[in-house]
Amino acid sequence: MRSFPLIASDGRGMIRDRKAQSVVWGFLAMMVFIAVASGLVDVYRLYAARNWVYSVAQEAAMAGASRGRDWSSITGGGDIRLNATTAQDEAQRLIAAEMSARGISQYVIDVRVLPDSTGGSIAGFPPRPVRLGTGMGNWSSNEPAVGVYLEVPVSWVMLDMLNSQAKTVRVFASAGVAQ
Amino acid sequence: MSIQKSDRNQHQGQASVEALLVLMILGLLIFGGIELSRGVAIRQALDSGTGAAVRAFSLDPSQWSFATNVIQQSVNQNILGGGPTVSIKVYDAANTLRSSAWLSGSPFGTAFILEASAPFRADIPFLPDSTMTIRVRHWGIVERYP
Repeated sequence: MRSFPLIASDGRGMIRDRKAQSVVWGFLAMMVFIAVASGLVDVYRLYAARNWVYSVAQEAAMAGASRGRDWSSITGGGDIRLNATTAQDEAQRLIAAEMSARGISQYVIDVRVLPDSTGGSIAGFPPRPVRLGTGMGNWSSNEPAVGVYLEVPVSWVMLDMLNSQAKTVRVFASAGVAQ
Repeated sequence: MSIQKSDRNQHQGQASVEALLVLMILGLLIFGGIELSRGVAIRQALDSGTGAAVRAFSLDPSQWSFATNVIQQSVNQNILGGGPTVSIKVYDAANTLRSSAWLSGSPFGTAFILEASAPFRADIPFLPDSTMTIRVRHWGIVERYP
């Protein structure tokens, strides 16, 4: 009768039986594959969320600039201006509607308006660095304009499992009225 | 001698089964990744096309077929190819579904939402076919005067 020991030695202190090694390697490889796939999903999710938040900010700025135009300044013989309250309200209303449609309640919004016909500048706005930001933190425009800063949290698939902090997408968009 | 050969055959069989299991999961992940990329590409094209269509509607709200074509062509030209048929709907600012005639007759300053959708089916081996609908929404304001 032949015996099948679980672990055999070659007499030089080395383990000769490697039956379980491929199972362990296979399991480890699977874990790596799954982690890579989850990471890929997270990247796509972040990419899609960022694009969406950008489009919301852009459309809100456009809505504010478009519907906030102060026509009385033109009919009165002057240059085009913005009604700051109307422009701000319109931009905020659009953002609230879009966030509500997606069921997002935890977001930060900051809408500023440069109502004068020559524009102006606002120091410290946008409050955080954003992509494509020139002169970050000091928004300026040479025409009446609406600036929208948005912060929206994005939930993770992979990083949630690792208890990582939620990622926040920060965007800034502005729209002006040409004279 | 015969015992050794039988033992080697046993190992070969075990390795084949393990390789098959690994390949099944690996295939699932690879095809899942490809299908995910395809879905993202279609969504990106749909989003971009809808943004352009909203601008077209802002300037001329009666251009329903032109706007639909813009979105369809954008989806057809997505980087991974094979664009599904898109459909569009228009809503007012209160999120009420409206018709193309409503948009066409809307006065200057009317806010509208254009929603474009396209069916997407992810073909992943070992998983049942799941058809979903990719939807994007963009806001616009009628800029045509009067």
